[in-house]
Amino acid sequence: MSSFTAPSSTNDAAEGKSELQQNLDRYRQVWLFSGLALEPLKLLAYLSTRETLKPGEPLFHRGELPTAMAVVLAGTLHAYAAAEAPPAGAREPDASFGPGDCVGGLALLGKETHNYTVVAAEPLSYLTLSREKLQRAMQQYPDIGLKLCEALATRVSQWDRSALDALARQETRLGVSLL
Amino acid sequence: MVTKKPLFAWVKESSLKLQLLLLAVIGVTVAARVFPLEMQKKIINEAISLKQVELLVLYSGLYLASVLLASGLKYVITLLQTSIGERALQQMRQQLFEHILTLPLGFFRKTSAGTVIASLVQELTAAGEFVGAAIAIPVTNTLTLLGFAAYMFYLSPTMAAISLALYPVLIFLLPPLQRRTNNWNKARVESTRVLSNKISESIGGIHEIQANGANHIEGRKHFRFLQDLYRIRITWTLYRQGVKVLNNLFQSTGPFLLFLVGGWLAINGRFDLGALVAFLSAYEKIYDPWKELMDFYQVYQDAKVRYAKTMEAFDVEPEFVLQPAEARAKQELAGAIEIKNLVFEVEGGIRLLNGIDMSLANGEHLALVGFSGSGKSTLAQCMGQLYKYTGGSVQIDGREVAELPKSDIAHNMGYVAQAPFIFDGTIQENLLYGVEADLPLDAPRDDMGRVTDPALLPSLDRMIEVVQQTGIFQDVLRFGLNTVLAPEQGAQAELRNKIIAIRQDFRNDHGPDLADYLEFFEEGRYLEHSSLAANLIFGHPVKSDYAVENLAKSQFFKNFLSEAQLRLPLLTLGDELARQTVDILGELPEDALFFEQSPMLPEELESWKEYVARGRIPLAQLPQEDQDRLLELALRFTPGRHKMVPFSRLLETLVLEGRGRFRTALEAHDPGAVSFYRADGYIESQPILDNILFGKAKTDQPHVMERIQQAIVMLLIEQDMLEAVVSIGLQFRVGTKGDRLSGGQKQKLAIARAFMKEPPILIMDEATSALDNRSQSRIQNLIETKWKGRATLVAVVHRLDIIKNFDQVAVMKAGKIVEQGTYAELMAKKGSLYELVHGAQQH
Repeated sequence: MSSFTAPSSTNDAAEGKSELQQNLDRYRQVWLFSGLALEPLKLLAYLSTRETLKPGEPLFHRGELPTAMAVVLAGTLHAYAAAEAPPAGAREPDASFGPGDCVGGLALLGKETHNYTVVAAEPLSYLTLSREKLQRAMQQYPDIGLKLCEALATRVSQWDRSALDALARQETRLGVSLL
Repeated sequence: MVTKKPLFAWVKESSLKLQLLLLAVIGVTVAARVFPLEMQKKIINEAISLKQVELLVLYSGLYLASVLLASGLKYVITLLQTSIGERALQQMRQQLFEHILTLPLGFFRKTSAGTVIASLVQELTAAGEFVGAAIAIPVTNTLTLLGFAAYMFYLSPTMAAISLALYPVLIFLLPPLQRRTNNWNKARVESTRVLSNKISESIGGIHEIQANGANHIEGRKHFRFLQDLYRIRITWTLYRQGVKVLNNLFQSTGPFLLFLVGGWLAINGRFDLGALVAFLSAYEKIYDPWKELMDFYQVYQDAKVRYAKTMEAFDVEPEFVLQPAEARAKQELAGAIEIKNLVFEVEGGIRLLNGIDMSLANGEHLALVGFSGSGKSTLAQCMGQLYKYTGGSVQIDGREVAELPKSDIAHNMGYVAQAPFIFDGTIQENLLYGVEADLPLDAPRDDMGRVTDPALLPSLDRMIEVVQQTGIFQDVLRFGLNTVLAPEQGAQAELRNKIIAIRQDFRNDHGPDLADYLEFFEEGRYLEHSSLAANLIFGHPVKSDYAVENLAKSQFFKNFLSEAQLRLPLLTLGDELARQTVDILGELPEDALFFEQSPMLPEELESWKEYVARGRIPLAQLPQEDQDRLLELALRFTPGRHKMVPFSRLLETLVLEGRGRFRTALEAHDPGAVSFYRADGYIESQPILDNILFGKAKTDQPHVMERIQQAIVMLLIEQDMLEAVVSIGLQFRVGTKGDRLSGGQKQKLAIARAFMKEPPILIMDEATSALDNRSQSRIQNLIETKWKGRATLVAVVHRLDIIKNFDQVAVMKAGKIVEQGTYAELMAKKGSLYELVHGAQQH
């Protein structure tokens, strides 16, 4: 494999698992997809591709329309509530995402533009699924839409509860639209 | 209106010449059918009794001739009948389709495309068949029936009376039997449905059944339904077969009477033997026209019901006239819009628009904002004559929109829908769709419907200009770059040379920069983003035998695979690819998007499903044909794109070794059959882009493709090639419903399609909702610089960041305009718009 292609987990490769199977394993642990039956999940995993970003490269900018969701495989993403990300290390990010985290899934269900600029903080590999493909898959398995909404409702409710807790401890919580 | 036409009108309208010809043929046919009976009589009475061989030969010959003539004519009748019927069907379909296209949009909210398809494609066939048969069948068979009957009376009135006397009995007995058969058939269908529901319930509740061990309960329920069905099916069969038996009985008891009476008459010398034989024949033959008439009655009933139902379903008046009553040039409008007390009420008394007043000078720009469901789109669509308002008035230049013919509206208006529709065809065809529709109906066209006079259509420069303005230029350029040049495009030798020149410059200027994103065609390296076949032959086939689709069938190549120890690994790979693809995509439609990440083509899916269904058979024992298919699939495998199977180091090594061996073997076997990749040669099998890169992009992520493209555009301009590539891109086929375009590309194309017409009025219904910021600002700029003052614009807007420079902003709520003015005025007022803007910012 070329150096540019996303590094796959060595264990999986040794077991002879295809990238599709590895993607599927990942997706089964993503909260957004919890509740999806195996068939539609397999289709989503199949339609997803692995991509990489170099440190400082943006996943998307504030004000842009969401075009794809991402699940981090390796590396870290930083989110800033600004049109451009500040120089690396200039200030703390408003939110950050690591392996297993899902970014931009909520956005795909709506028409709103991004509120954050999200950039790679270190070499990043991630799985991505475009809006187009997700929509086409939803047409085939209408259940996908319903399950995603359920997962989102659960997540928003959890977020709210944790925000209440945080309020009690006087912390701030940002980034719910990045879900 | 076509829906008001009675079924028989189509018979009357069908070609008179054909119908007359048909009647003439029928006359001769009937004679040719009766004539053999007379011959039969003569053969027995004259030839056989008098032992006249000459007469025997003559009469037999005449018999044969008339039988042949009758069969031949029957064939001619069928042909004429079919031709009349098919012509009528064609007319019916076309007229109904044209009518359906004019129906109000509201009609299609209640009627699905499936219903329209079923009506046009299936339901009308019965009517077409009937129109074809309407004259031929009844006339032929009634005449034949009368002919036979007359002949029988001529032979012996007594016997004719006896034998025909049976038919009224049949007419009396059959219908009630048939009715009961039909009733029991209905019961059978119903009972089958109930049983299906039961089975469906059991399968749906299988978890519960197995968890409770309740198999016996469900089994008993199922058996009860089966018992009902059993009883009904038996009764139904009894009646159904009863009808058949009765028919047969009459058919065969007839001769019994004839033998008895005829025999008695013959013995008494009042009837000769020949006449008896002829009579028996006639009696037997009389059944056929009788049966055909009965069947025809069924066809008529069926056609009548289905035709009436179909026509009734579409019996709706169009809301607008298509063309002006008398021919005249199209109205040129300036675009001033005046709306007074506009009301649009739908069923249930709901007012989607409730008393709208506004006025727009020509060239003024209006933004309609408000929550979804507030009536913005409906208002825009009423102005665009897509819906017919139920009260008040909308006037353009003082003319009532509802009264203007569609041709005038279309001539003066560009409309971009919320979810624009793109038709199957090329980008260019879609771009020119509005312009073409606006051409006079009698503009010269070729057989394919393409306009033949290029002067009627915009020039290439003009198309490129619009493509550039609307920002779909980058996409069109990409389509052009991704095109594989056709070999016969001879004038492109120059093009090919320029591409190679660009390749060198690209390497020098951008090679190091973009190396991370590219995979160059390097001799000693496995190309993850090229097919396995390309990795093996590492060149492009000069002879078609070595093209990927033919490789698997080439004996030389197969031998090579065996020698290189690649055959079994490739068969295994092909098998795994087939199984995985069928597993994931087996139940999905043949959508190109789903197949992008599989080496299988959508149209191959069905046959691979059959292959997988056969279960696992040792690969070497598969039929040769299947092995070839597996190899072909494996040869298309591209590890960088097809992720459903793991790509082993072993296979990679084998293929890399095979690459050298293949070259040596091929040069000995068939030198020059493949042109191997060279940095200074054009690769015919690869698209323009890959020829420039001399490699492939590793990803199709937009930000990467954009960087690559930016680098290439400069080089294309230097070589004066940009236009050539864009015009190739304009020929890109967008697929059914524009499937091969993204949502944003579709919107940009739809905007370009509307701009292409340069209309005095533009209606844009959330036309930029799927565009990224840059594309959106580009279009916004264009509207402000190019169209302000030139075209009246009504834009339904969801994203409020773009409305500041509109001349007027109208805020809608529940079908009413609650606020109207300039952006600054309304914001200063801190009313509804202010709320909307700040609400939107608060997320």
